[in-house]
Amino acid sequence: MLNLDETIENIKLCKHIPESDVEELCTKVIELLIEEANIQHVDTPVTICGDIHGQLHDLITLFKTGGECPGTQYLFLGDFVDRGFYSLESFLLLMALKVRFPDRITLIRGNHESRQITTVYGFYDECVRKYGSVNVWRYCCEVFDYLSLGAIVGGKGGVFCIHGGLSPDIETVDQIRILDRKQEVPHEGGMCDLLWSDPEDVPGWAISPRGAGFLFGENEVNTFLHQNNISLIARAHQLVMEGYKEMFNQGLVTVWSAPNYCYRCGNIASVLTIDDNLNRDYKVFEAATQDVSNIPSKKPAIDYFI
Amino acid sequence: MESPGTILNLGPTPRRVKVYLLQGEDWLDNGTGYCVGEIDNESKAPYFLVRNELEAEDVILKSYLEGSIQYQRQQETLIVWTDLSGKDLALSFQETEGCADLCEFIIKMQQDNYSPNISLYYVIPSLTEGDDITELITGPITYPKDPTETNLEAVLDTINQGSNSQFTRTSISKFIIEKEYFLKLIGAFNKAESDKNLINLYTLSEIIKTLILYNESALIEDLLSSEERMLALVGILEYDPEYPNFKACHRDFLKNKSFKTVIPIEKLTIFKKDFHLNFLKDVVLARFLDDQTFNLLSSLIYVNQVEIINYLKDPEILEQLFNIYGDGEIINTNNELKCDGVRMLHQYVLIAKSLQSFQKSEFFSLLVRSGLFRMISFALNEPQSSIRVLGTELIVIIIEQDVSLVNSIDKDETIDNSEPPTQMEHHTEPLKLPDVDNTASDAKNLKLKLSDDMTLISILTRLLVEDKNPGLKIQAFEALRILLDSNIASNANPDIEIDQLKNELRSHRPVVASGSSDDFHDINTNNYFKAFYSQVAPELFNDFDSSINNSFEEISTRIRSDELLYQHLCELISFCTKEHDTSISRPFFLDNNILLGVGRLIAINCRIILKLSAIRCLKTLILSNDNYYCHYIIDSNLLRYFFSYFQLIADQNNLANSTCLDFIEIIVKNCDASSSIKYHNFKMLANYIYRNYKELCGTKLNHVSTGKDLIELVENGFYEDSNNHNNTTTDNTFRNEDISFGSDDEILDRHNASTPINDEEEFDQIEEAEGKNAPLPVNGNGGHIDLFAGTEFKSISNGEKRHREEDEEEEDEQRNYAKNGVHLNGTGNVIDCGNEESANNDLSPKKLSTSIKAKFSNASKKIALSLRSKNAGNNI
Repeated sequence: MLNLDETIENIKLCKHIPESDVEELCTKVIELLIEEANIQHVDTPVTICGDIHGQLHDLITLFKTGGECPGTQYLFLGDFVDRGFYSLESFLLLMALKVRFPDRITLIRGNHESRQITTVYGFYDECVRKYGSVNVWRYCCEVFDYLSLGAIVGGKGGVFCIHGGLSPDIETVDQIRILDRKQEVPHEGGMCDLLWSDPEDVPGWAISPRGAGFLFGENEVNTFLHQNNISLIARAHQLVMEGYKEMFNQGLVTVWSAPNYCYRCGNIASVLTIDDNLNRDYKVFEAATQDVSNIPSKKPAIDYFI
Repeated sequence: MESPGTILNLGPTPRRVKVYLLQGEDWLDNGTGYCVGEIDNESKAPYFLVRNELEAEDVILKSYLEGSIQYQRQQETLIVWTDLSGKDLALSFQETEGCADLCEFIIKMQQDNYSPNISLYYVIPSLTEGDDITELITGPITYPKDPTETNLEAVLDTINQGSNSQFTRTSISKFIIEKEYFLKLIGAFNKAESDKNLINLYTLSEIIKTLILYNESALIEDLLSSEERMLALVGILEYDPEYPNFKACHRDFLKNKSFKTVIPIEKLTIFKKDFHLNFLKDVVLARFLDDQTFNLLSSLIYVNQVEIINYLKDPEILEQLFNIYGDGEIINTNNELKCDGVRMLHQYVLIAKSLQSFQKSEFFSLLVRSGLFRMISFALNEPQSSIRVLGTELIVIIIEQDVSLVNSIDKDETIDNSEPPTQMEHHTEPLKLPDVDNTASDAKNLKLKLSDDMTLISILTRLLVEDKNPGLKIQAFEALRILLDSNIASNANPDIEIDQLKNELRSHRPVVASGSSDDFHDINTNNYFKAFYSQVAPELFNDFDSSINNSFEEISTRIRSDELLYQHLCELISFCTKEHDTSISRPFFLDNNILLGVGRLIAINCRIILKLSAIRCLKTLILSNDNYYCHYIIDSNLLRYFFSYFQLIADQNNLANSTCLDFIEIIVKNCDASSSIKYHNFKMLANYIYRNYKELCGTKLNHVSTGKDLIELVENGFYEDSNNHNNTTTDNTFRNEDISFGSDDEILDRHNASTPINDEEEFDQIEEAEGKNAPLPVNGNGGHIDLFAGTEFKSISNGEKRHREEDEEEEDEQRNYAKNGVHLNGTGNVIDCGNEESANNDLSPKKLSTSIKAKFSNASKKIALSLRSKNAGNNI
């Protein structure tokens, strides 16, 4: 049986987690996720975090910066995996915390939480390298399908949180409720846009250079804020050198939580705390470098046959 | 051309130029002429010569390429420089080629040592504001001095400076390779390490990193050209100034690395190289690599892996490997070696997976021919689940590439044919399968040579049903899905479906002219799927068969003991009903009341995940827009399970609630006349829901528009009145519906699908409809044309019409067939399929990849066209 506290410690130390434990963790987290809404309601105070991208040591720094879970309540805006060398450990840590403190941490889906994307950007390879077979990746992908698509923090007048942005197909938050989200991220449509779109200084909607989602302008943001009685859209999805960036008369913010992204971008990271009065407090942090165990590296393949 | 005193003539064509001289702030025009580059016979000094275009004897400019003059090429047509006397000169060429010619001359003069100290830069205007980029094209190179204990900083500087242009990177790389400079660095490293001279160690590490980031493949190959060099390289990189207090242990790791061997291999180097390159990319350099260098390393790895796979494509080596698993005679090999063999091949099959299609296809087919299935049989029966997982993964990877490798539908020659392929007819009895826990010696009797036999499918079914390892279940499920793909045969022949349909058409026409090869495909795939439904499906879906008199309690207990299995089964049912020819699949699912069993899952006390899987399965059925399924769902009152569950969770906001809402929403959306050409099934469902669950829709679905929309649609007769000049009342709408599905029932009769209709009212309606239309009119336009002049076509707006051209073509053809006296039943299958596919296109695009979509629409187009041409022939 899974010993959660011990597993959490082992994950933080990057120790090998047995495949059966990964499977059990995934099954348990799915049982929890299935009870969550497509747009999950989250109470204040909560600390909102952007992309992590497999930078486990920076994720540990993030918890030091924002306060350990469950002391601080967290909302992660997706993109837990790919790019960094510890995608699996990062996602396992977040899942383990979710199972251990279900009400103190919310995970929503990013565009990288998808079978197609992870086969290209590293998570798939990492799983194969660490376990010698594809199954651990498969278990995690099952979990991806159950992740919520977004969250509302603080109820009326609160903060709408998604990974990417708005969709021309979605005018109201309630509309999102009709989607059966348990599926691979589609190539188009509302669900896809929520995970892929970007804000930009454009009039109306524009084609996104990413090939999925849309670019949306200030007007769209204002309309959405007004129509749904919310004060802020908090999203991630784009690297911000300063860790966070407010746009559109403070109607939208991009939060980025992977410092020195890809171990070479030189950016700082941030988390955003929303308090009971819906005040915003940004905390920034830098990449961790002090400890030898923090030197990011990949482990070589387990066995090699000739 | 006159060129006295020239030994070498690089700018042989005089090029038209204007010569400018800078005076103060202004460039003064010094005349227009023709420019050549020449070398003085005696002094060997090169120079530019410009003669006046009007008077050849008049030399406008003679300027020597000397000293350390820096030439700049600007804007494609300008060469600018300051000569040794301090004059600023510019040549402005009429064409780009002229400028390029003379730049070539400068490069040649510099590199051939006529004027070794001159240099040429390209000035590339930057796209954004800011500094232009200057790229050195040629010039004197500062090469790094031989490393000593005291000059490493200077060496690093030189190498850093050299990284600024491609020219210097290439030159320094060449220098390092030719002078074996890396060996000198290794010497300096060994000295620094024994002296514990940290500063020098860090500097050396930086030097190596910079050199690697030169991104010169020849240089990187040079650094890695032997195991000793590889070890020295990773040794130097153990020291990292970013982490001054720590040192990595790459060398220890590599020295202690023992490679596992299964069979003796001669060409060890390529295998070690693969490991080393990956180690370098993933571990040693992981943090430093930029995208270009990462790609360079990846391509080096790829090239080497191609070599590995080519080496392994040796039948002798493979035979040796597979002989471990016995070849008729019993060979005593220890079990651990056999397991290692599976691990080894898995490793290389994963490598092969990343190669180009033809390369892996060749490799995989050689594996199959050399006896791969002996290994797989061993693996699937091995008590260690990790080995069973690898064995199944081997199957999955290989069938993903090419199903025909394991399933010779029409490519018998790719299979080891020591026995003739078995004909379907001989397989009326289900095959005896070895138990999963059988010993390896029994397992080798497994025959995995599949033409139409179900051995592999049966084995995978067993794995799915009986194995407790959840990963293995997923793999078995995925493998089954590939093997049960309706396009299974089209791997080898992309036109197979069309051929099949053509054959069916022909068989109903007076003149039968069927090509034998077409028949072959036809028979084979049909039998293949028939075999699945007669031999495997009953076993697979047994627990869903609600006609079997097991107590509800008994079944729920069994289901709860392996909910994961039933989740996969629900997905398989969705898949089979969607993908397979309904004439084969539908009778199975209806006769055995499988769908009722699926519905019952929703009511059983099991995990929500499973209930939702069942709901999604029903959703797929509804989206298939199949008249029989739709009637069945309504008549068996199947949705009562759905609604009683929905009632329970209607007030919650969670995934279950969203899945249920989505279920109703797809019905509502498709009732909209503009969304689908064949939407009467959805109207029937909407009416059914309205009749039975109006209150639920009206009260519990307030937060979204779904419930309200449904009620409004039904109460307003689906807003058809405005589009339909014939019918103004709801009653009439109902009649139209009935008539149109009556016509489809006619088509469906041919398939001998059971008609699971017990609701009397519905039944009467159908009878009435059938009575009207059967027998179908053979001549004239009678009632039959009315079928197609009903609401469905009238209500399509013009914009929609364009998109639905293909479907309409089919419908038109259908009409023509009736006119021409060909019995409609003959085309039944075509029309049925065409409509189903188009329904799929409209309703669940996310389920279909674009390529498949394209294929479907092409297929229906082709069918329509071929029908048209045949018809035309008939008319003439």
